[in-house]
Amino acid sequence: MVATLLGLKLHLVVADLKRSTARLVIWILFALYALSMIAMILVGLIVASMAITGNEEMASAITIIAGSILVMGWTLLPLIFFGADQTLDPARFAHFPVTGTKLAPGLLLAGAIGLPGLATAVICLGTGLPWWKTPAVLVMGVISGLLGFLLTQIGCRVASTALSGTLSSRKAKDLTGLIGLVVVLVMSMGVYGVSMGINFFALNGNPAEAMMVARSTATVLAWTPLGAPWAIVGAAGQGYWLMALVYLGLTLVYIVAGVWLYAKILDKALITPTIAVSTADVGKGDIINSVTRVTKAQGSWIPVAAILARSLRYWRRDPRYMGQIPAILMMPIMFGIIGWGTTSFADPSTDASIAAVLSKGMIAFGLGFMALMAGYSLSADVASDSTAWWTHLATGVKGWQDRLGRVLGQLIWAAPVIILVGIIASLFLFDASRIPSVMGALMALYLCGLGLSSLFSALIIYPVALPGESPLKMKTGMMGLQMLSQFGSLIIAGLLALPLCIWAIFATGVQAWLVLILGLVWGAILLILGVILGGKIMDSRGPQILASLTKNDSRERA
Amino acid sequence: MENEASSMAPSVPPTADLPQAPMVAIRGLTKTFGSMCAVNQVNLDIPRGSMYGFVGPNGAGKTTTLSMVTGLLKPDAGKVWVTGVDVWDNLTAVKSKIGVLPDRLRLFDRLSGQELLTYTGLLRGMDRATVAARSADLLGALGLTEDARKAVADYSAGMTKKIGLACAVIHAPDLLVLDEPFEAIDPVSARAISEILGGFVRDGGTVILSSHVMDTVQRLCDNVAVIARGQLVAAGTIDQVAAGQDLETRFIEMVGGADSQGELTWLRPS
Repeated sequence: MVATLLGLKLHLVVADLKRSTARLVIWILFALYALSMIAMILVGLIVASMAITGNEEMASAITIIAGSILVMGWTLLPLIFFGADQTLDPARFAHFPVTGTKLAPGLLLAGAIGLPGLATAVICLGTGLPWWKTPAVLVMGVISGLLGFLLTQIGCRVASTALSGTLSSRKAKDLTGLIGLVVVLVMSMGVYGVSMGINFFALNGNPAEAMMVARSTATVLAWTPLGAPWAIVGAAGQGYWLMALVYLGLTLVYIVAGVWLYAKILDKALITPTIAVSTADVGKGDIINSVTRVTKAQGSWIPVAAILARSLRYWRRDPRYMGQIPAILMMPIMFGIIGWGTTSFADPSTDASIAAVLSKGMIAFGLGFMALMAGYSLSADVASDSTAWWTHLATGVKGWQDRLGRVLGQLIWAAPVIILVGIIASLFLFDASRIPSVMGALMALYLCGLGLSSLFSALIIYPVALPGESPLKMKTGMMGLQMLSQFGSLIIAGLLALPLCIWAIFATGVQAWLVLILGLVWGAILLILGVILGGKIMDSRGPQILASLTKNDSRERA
Repeated sequence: MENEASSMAPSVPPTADLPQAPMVAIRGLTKTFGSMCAVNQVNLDIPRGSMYGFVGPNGAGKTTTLSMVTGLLKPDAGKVWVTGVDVWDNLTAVKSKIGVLPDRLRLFDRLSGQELLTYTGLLRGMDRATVAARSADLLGALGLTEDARKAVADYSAGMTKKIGLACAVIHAPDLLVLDEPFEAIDPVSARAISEILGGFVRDGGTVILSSHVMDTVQRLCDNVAVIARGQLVAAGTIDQVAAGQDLETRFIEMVGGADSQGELTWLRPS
């Protein structure tokens, strides 16, 4: 059974790579990247061996903490990329006369086939390298690595199978996608913050204190499934052989328990059909009807109002849209942290004013970037519709109606948010007199972004996460020209608003109000141009757009 | 038998919106995807007021042909007229006369069934009051009233087909182009849909529907066209095409196949 499952997974991986040259090229690039990372880490581990004498306790603590992060990362992985790899989805074995106990070992090992699994395995096996001068400890390191690697795979499989059981409903899938997105955002900022904190500690604080924290963290982790395997080599490296054996026994207990748990979950997955059943209503009324009524749309404005209403629903309900909102709003904070991080090392006695300007500048830059990205977030709008867009084509909706409806569906709530954030940030960074010029720059950036995305989303359909998929799902089909044109148009939008932004920095008094007026007028002109031109392109390229959407829809490849 | 098809196609294309112009006239329609010719030189007339079946094996070019009739896919060569009007020269005018149910394309499924219907109606430029009245009628007729407020994403395959059908007819078109309308539909709903379509044709409407199930076509349609490997194999009334046989038998004869190679001698309960 193990051999069959491993063979099946290997076959699937190879078949996937053979599907297109682009895939193979990307795979090779990732493989090279992984190889360089592995080489770097292994060399680092060997180099560490030079400093090991006298620092055994520190080495043990670092090994345990790093190993725990590895196991934790693998366990959290399915939360972020759920549904990304369903090739060996246990539910697919439901038709065969097999039990969870029979499937578990094979599926566990099959999950490791692939770049991330192999890279992790190699790194794990190198755990003992810092102690290579003591062969007995090196052997313990290999055992540590092997068992630790097994735990990463158990964590990943248990989490993903347990998730796929609960994820049969669409709502749960949506929620998990959003949680995953927030986890990624918080983690990426958290890692930055922690590394900044360590730097700060190292530069300004007491190294002995940092050591204390690391040691007590490692001591606790060593008793959990996250840290136990790594504590084997850690204890052996310090000469505590009896403790090493205790940790070995504990790790084996955790592995047996993990496999047993996995088999139990598998048994459940094999008899649970993954058919989505939801009885919840979308809403009380009919949003399309209500919005059209409230806006009193007439004639050719009726489709615009309908598309506006539909956009609103998607921004509110589709995690692919909703997830963009926190990501965009976090930009000023993110740049603020970077600014703070950069300036916190400045020598306050000499560089105080420079540091303050730099820090404020970073936040202001983040603010502008937020406005630009908010406008530019519409550039994937048609691509996100996927083939559902045929409705617009078949009903004879005009391109400008399609463009304008989507723009208004975002503008109606995003413009007030940007204005609010802009006012708060102006008061926080500068003073009330700066509000008009800041607002002028922000509006120019936002409206230019909207205008450019109205144009480009009709011109270029690039692969995005499909309806119902995780918003974090990676799309490998986006290549060369598409990528270039996407970033290119973002830069063009930024450049178009740049003169006003520069003016806004220096404008005071009456000039500040001029920046506001000009920003609004200039932005409005570009937006209208984008809607009209984008609409014309959409009118003439309708069938090609649908063909591109169909090509990107995995449903069609069946 | 194939000569029947070509003999029925008039050589002069209709040019004006005359009563005698066929509902749909297709001439020399061709579409190539890479090296594969999906639709090759298809000529076909679909009379007004007919229930026209469109049948063929998987991958024969049914969906491709129907997409070129409804303005969703641009032909490489050839022309299509709907009531004598060239489809690809008058897209907006023609689209307003056609109701479409594509197969395998998505719907805006974060909307509820009710909302999707309203959306489609309003995109067609209809006024709110008419859309509201008709969508209530349609949801009732198709047995979707109870699920009207659920997201279409949570619908079963059959319910999705039904809401798609409702969207296709909400603007009371002259021509309905339905790709696999009975797929995944339960017998009760199938009966309801047949009755709706029958009434539509009796009142002078025209329906083109594709299907894999010959029984459905034989029972429901008055005319049928057979397409295989991108080419029209036969077209005419059911009786003409079936030629005294059962339509399914005749279909398998025409498209080739069913010449099974050897018996599965081991296939019996052990």
